[in-house]
Amino acid sequence: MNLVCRDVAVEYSCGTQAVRPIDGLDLEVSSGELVLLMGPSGCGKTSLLSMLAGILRPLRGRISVDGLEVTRLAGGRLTDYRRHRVGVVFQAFNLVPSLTAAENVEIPLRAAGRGRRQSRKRARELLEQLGLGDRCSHRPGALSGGQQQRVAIARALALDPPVVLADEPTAHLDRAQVGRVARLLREIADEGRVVIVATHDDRIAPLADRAVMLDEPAAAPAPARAEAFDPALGAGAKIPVYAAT
Amino acid sequence: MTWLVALRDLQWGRRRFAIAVTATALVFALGLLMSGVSASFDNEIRRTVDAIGADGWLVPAESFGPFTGPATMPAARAAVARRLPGVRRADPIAVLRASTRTPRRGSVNLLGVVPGGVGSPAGAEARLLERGLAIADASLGLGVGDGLDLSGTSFRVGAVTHGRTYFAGVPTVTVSLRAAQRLALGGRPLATAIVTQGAPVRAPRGFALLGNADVRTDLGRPVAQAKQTISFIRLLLWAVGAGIIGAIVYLAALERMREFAALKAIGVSTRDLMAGLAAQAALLSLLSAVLAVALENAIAPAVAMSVEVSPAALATLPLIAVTAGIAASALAIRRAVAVDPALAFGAAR
Repeated sequence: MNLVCRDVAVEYSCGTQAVRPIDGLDLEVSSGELVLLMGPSGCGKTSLLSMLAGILRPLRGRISVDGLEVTRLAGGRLTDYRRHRVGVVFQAFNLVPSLTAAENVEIPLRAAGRGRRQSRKRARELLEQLGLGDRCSHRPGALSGGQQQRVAIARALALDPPVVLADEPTAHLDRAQVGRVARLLREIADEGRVVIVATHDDRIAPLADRAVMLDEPAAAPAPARAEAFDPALGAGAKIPVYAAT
Repeated sequence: MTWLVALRDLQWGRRRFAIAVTATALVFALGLLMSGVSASFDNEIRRTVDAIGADGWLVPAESFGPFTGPATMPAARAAVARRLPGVRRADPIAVLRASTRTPRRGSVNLLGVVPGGVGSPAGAEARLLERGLAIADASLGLGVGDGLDLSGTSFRVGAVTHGRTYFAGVPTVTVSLRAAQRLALGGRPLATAIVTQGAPVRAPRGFALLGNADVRTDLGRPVAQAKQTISFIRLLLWAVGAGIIGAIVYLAALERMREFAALKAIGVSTRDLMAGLAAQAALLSLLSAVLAVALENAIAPAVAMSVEVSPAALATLPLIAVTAGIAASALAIRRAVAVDPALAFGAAR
């Protein structure tokens, strides 16, 4: 399983000016890899995650997951991709406040047509694995930030997708919780998934396989630069991998 | 899944939804009351015509109806009608109005009939009329044995009818034709119509022949505008009720935009989101309809006019309410369908 981006560009207007935060991005991630997307605010981390999640269509370029070209999907096939191929953990968790933790995890399962009992069982198993076995019937409002984040991760894993995307998963967490979530993401990758995390938090870096540095956005059509660095070499040791075109 | 999220959201915002359901139920109840009042106009007309039990009505040619444009003629002209082919029996009848002071000042419909004849109650009640007693509708507020003042003449109530009203709930008092002639026609042997058993084939010279359908139309003429107004108000009330449901579902949907975006982003289909909101609207409407029936039952006795909500109206209320509620929620559904899943990502544009 691998995820491939080729010559991906995204553009949106900022007032009267068109901004192209990502321009000519090439990226390959294999299963088992935990990759961080890093860079200043507005550099396109979330946009890239949105494109990988099949939510945002790039201006140009191609994104494929295990040979399936995401950028060509539409309608039911796109919904199916979002449902089965990719799990998303949002920065603000985005749990449904009226549902319990278990019911939140059940959503993708039920949406995929799984039976009620089967969905409930799977949701409980996942929550137990993530240390939330005793919080299944709690609503998000009754859970701490870290617990909500783990519920969101359980929801992302419900249908066992090969790709997991996380947007600033540690933004609302304290130091102890950051460590726990980082280890969890590492474990999820080690289970053979592609895990891509957009983050400002370099505390996750030691557990990542690599990080992709995205530069400040440029006004279109000037190209943006994207670089990667190896966490093992430290933040200063940048390894350019994407040539702007 | 659709129902689960819809139900949980309703539980989550139960106070807000309870207020919306109560307000909508009140509006729907008013709509039901309006329906009941409008239906009572039709029902009292039907009961009045049925109670007279005629097959044909002969009125002076210049009269356009025995109830709204009565014109007098000699009661003896009933003899002409009796000779008409198809007529088994014919009797004169006087359709008049009288004032009363008992039990309070007001007007009544006065019906003078030949006791035991066409248009008259049968058996013991006919004998009461022969004895000079009156048969009054219960809506007048008098019981058997009570004194009844009719345009200054004293009667005693011999029997009480129920639902015998016309012209929007005005009670009907039946007396003998002779009593009616003394009371309102100066004692002259006049009548305003001849009612027949067996339908005449044609009207004799100087008469107009009316069937029961014509008479019902005649009786409905004074309340036609009221009915039209009631229908219009009822329609407005339905719209207001549906509007409340639509507004509450829309506002709730606006608050849930990020939730919808996240659900879309994780692969929940647009169809499921639509179904969830439609289910909410349907459930709220249904609850409102059920509560409306209870409210209508509680309010109806306090309404001065007769309220006769038909079982059909009660049965169709939930259907109409649900349809109207879902239709009113179309805007909310449209917003939810159009939400960009990218909204789920905090900083995504």
